[in-house]
Amino acid sequence: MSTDPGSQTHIDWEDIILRLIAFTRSWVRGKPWFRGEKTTTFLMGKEVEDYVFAAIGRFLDQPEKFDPAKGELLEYLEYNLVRSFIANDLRKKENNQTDDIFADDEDDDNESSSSYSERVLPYTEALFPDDIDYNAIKEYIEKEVQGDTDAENIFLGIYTYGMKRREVIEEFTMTAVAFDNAMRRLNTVINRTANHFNKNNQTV
Amino acid sequence: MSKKTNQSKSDFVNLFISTAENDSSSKEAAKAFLESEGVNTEKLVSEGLKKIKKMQMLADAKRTENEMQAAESVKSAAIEWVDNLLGDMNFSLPELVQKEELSMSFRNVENLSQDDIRNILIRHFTLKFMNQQNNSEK
Repeated sequence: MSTDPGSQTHIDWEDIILRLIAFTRSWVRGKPWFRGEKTTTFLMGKEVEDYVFAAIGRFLDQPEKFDPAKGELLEYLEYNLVRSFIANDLRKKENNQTDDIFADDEDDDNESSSSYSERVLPYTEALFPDDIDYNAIKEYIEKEVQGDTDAENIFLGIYTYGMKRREVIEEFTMTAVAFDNAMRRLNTVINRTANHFNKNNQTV
Repeated sequence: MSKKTNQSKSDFVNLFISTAENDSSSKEAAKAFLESEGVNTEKLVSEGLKKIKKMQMLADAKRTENEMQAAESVKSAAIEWVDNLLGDMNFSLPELVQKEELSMSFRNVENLSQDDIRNILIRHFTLKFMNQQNNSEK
């Protein structure tokens, strides 16, 4: 595989830059939802973009660590970014929520056989405290999206059946545009829900 | 925490990840999301490509340097090997030529000085050790 930025036939760097930064910004924005804190100290004074290009740099240094059998390059980079943020979080004194179960998994890259996208879940889970009534959150969201069929279906598909975007679109025969619009409405509901359940009732 | 609560948490976190995945589901979706956040995507891409090109050049230079260092260490090992070989009282060049299949390199052996023989052997064993190293890494 060529890693030459000029070699767009192999790696579409424009695609990677845009999608990776969008993913990371979105992921980071939602992170403090249930932390009861306003800080984004896990960024350690840097911008999201700094982490994105650091992750790309690590890949360019050691491209052999990326295993295409475990997912696309974008997923590999997303997974590495999420790991960096969790590692930063573990080092912060004010952190009292993140589980420390990933503190010693430097070799996770080599040992785990699961796909990169599957591995994002447990890392992200570590951000969310256990002492929240997630069933109450579910019920709250269900109530809030009632009557909005597309948003209800998306919530059902993703939350209950763990479907991905494409699967929801196929299963509920909706267009991509309808999905995106409904997902935006669902996100508004989720944000509202986060504020409702947040310990400090703050806006994020 | 009960298993049921654990599952509810995972389901919720999945929903949270889906939001990020949806915001980055395609180049167009990512662009729309970033622009809604006030990001200048054209500038982001052009500066990003420059950064990547620079990082790629640095990574290539580092790789070349590592390869050269590795080659130097293999050459040192080959020199030591050849010097030990030549210093051995029982050393026989014809036997070595046959064993290592070096007849082409030593076809004019009568015209070669001791230094020439040493240099040919060092070159031969450097290549041999490098091949062995490459094969063991595969």
